[in-house]
Amino acid sequence: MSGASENRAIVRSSLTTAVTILENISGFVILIMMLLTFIDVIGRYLFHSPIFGGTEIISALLALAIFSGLGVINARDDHITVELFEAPIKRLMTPLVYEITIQLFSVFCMGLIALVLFEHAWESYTLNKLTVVLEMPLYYVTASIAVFAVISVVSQIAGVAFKILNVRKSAAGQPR
Amino acid sequence: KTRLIVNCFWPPQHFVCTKVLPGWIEEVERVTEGRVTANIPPKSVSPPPEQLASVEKGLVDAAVQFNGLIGNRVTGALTAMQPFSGTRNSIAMTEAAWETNKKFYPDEFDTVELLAQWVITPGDIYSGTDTPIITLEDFQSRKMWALPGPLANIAKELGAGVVATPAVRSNEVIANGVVDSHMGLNGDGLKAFQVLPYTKSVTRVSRPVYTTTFSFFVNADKWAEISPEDQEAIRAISQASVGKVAAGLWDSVSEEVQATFDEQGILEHKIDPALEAALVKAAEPITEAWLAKASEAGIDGPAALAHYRKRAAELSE
Amino acid sequence: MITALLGFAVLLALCFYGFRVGFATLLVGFVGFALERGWSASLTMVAQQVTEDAQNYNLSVIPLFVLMGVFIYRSDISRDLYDAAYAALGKFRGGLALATVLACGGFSAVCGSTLATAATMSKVAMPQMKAYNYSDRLAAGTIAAGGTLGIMIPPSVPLVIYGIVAEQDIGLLFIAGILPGMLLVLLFLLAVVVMVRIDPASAPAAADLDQERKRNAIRGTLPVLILFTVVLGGIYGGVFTATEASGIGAFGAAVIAVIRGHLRSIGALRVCLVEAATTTAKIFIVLFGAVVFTQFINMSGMPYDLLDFVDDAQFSPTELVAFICLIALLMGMVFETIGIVVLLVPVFLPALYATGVDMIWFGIIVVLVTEIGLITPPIGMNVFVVKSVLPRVKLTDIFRGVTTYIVALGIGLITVFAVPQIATFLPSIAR
Ligand code: NA
Ligand code: NA
Repeated sequence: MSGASENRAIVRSSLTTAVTILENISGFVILIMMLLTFIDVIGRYLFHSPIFGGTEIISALLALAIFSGLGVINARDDHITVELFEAPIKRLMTPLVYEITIQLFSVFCMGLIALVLFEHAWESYTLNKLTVVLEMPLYYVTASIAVFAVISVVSQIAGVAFKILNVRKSAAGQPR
Repeated sequence: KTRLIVNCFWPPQHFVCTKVLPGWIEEVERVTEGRVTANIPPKSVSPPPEQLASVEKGLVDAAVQFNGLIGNRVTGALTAMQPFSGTRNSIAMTEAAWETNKKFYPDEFDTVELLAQWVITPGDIYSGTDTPIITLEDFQSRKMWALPGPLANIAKELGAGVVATPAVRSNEVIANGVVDSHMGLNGDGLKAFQVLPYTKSVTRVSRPVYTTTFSFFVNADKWAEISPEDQEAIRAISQASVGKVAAGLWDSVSEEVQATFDEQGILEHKIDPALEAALVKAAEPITEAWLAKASEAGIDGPAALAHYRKRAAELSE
Repeated sequence: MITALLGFAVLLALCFYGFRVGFATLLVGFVGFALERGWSASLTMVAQQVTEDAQNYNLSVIPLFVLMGVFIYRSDISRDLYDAAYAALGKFRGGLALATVLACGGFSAVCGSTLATAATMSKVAMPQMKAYNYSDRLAAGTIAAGGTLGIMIPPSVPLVIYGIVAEQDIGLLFIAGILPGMLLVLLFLLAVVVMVRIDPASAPAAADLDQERKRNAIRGTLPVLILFTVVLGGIYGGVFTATEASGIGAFGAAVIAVIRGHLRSIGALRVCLVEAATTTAKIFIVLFGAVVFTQFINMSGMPYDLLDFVDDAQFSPTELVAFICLIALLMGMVFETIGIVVLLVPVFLPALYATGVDMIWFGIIVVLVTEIGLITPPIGMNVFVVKSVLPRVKLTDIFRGVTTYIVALGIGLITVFAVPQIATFLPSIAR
């Protein structure tokens, strides 16, 4: 019994740390995006100097913001869902089994995304692909989002583990 | 019977999607007596930089690639894209480029079957304000949209405030006052991206600054499915029905658009020789870098470039 | 055609089971494309679509406009907006509900999402209406319906996504949304008048605001007005692009929040930024799924089959759009706006181009139709949002409360359908 609650505590604390780090990164990236767009316009009108490749930098930041933010919502399973038949389906199987099928599906899909992104990043690295305007290596961005996608899968699994531990806990706590 | 999926990354209404590629498909069906057919998906299957990769990986069977986006894979295809090499006759440039390809780097595309290459109408320098761009000072005082790659680098080198985005996004930048001038669009671009209303004058350079080139190819496995006789027949018609037709259409659309300049109140100005000289000078490092890459790739760059320039000029006469 | 329809059926089944919409769409698209072109090709396709979309410069307006809304929400302006609206309309019967509609319209002008608009106004308007014994039906229904204004009055996330899918200018789409948005505000006000006339007991008389609150309200509304004018005026006058407008808007909203004393610690800023980032991720995972699924549909040949169908049926542009609206209405029962825009529009693009439909007008029509879907059963996202903020209110009451607004939206749809100039006039004279 104490082993289980210890496990839960470990899962919970590592999950919290991971989510906090991802939150900080995603928030920071969004802040930079805002400041950069703002400065780009101001710079253009006041100092006649747009940021060369500014749009390319903002595009890259967008990708980073999405994939760091994705880690957070994956950990919380905060996704858009159609909750039309959830109740009747839950009556057909135990909540735990239902939850596991849903979460495994999400983990599988996110794993697929992480896999293809890694392959894509590897290709842009080996072929030395460059961005169009700044001619900077494309893998800077593709590899970063691939790494975020992997972290996001891990945090997703941690989130699932935490949820399952919780479901079992509440099931154990209920009188039969 | 072989069916090819041919990708077109231009908007579905563009003449590459409505005329050039459908025309090639018709020709292929004719010369193979229907043993090889093809169709074009309603919407591009992959983004412009990924056309070569998409054919290699089999997302589609054939596609057109803008060579500027695969410069890290093919060096020879960039010969006709070296600044100040082109003329104003796309069909002539296309023929010269194809000749140069056959002579100097025929096997450069080693993962796909290259069927055609072409060069399009060069773009110009345009002012979006009532003040034309004539001198170097004019040029430097401008906020300018430029085609990414050599043109953007040249403009930046000369000291203009450069905003470089892919051509499909030029409208947004030009129409929203982000810039007051633009460089690199030809007549087709002016029309397709609807930037004519924001264009007040054009600056005539004695030689085109820069021209873009495209390659058209088929997936190697799919190509192997086709009988040698049909392969030969398709090879025989492709450059004429894709390359030459595309180049001709680009020129005729550009001419049509140029012809409306008067009624649109778009004025023509001759460039100050000092500005042209500065552009030529700023372009030199680009060609030097390309020559170094070509020799790395085992291509006789100086000879290829000289051959292309000579033939393009001869054929344009 | 059959594989595509099968794909849609499987997708629906997976979503109904409860799998996350974005993931389900992505997987069906991936498998479907693989069946057409092979597994390795499909893997590459997914990678290309996801990276391309994640780095699409035009889509960077989404996090920035979301952030602008978050800052505005933070700065507690919604209350002032509400008070100002009440100061203007309080003397009429049902004044608090009228004020809710107007305040929703005002909030929509600085917020790109319907859910955020509904959630915000639930917190602001509901306590007031409860205090004066408004019926749940009228109060919650008005908020749920008023929230839908968020995506018609610019900025609007669905219009951005439509612009990308249909290759239309996002700035022009925003401008096109202004008049239809105002028309909807008028129709919603009218809906309140009708409801109060039918059931006077649902809206007892309320006291007037005191002078000080009125003054505060007007002072509070001013920043929103300025921000909206700068953002839309900048786009309209060709001073900057939609993306730049979003950056300026977010920055301006941050300044307003700081001045009003609500954004004066790193912690507060962090909360806002993270909320914008997670909302963005939530939108994009649905988008990723949709673009991957669209490639499967693209490869299946369905858009061409539909083009042939439209050809054979000899549809006029109006008939075609009416036909699409019907499908969008059906989809709207279950899916939310972004899903509909990304799944439906590409399927019909060739047919729409061929019949020469005005694509700016069509974008406004599609968004209007999906607004109806947001408040109709069984899945009305806005109704659910109001319910989650106000757990005490009965779901059936909210659904009953929005009925009149659905009629109003229907009238709005027919009007914009019959008089396309409502959408196309402002864009035609812009710049
Ligand atoms: Na809005
Ligand atoms: Na609905």
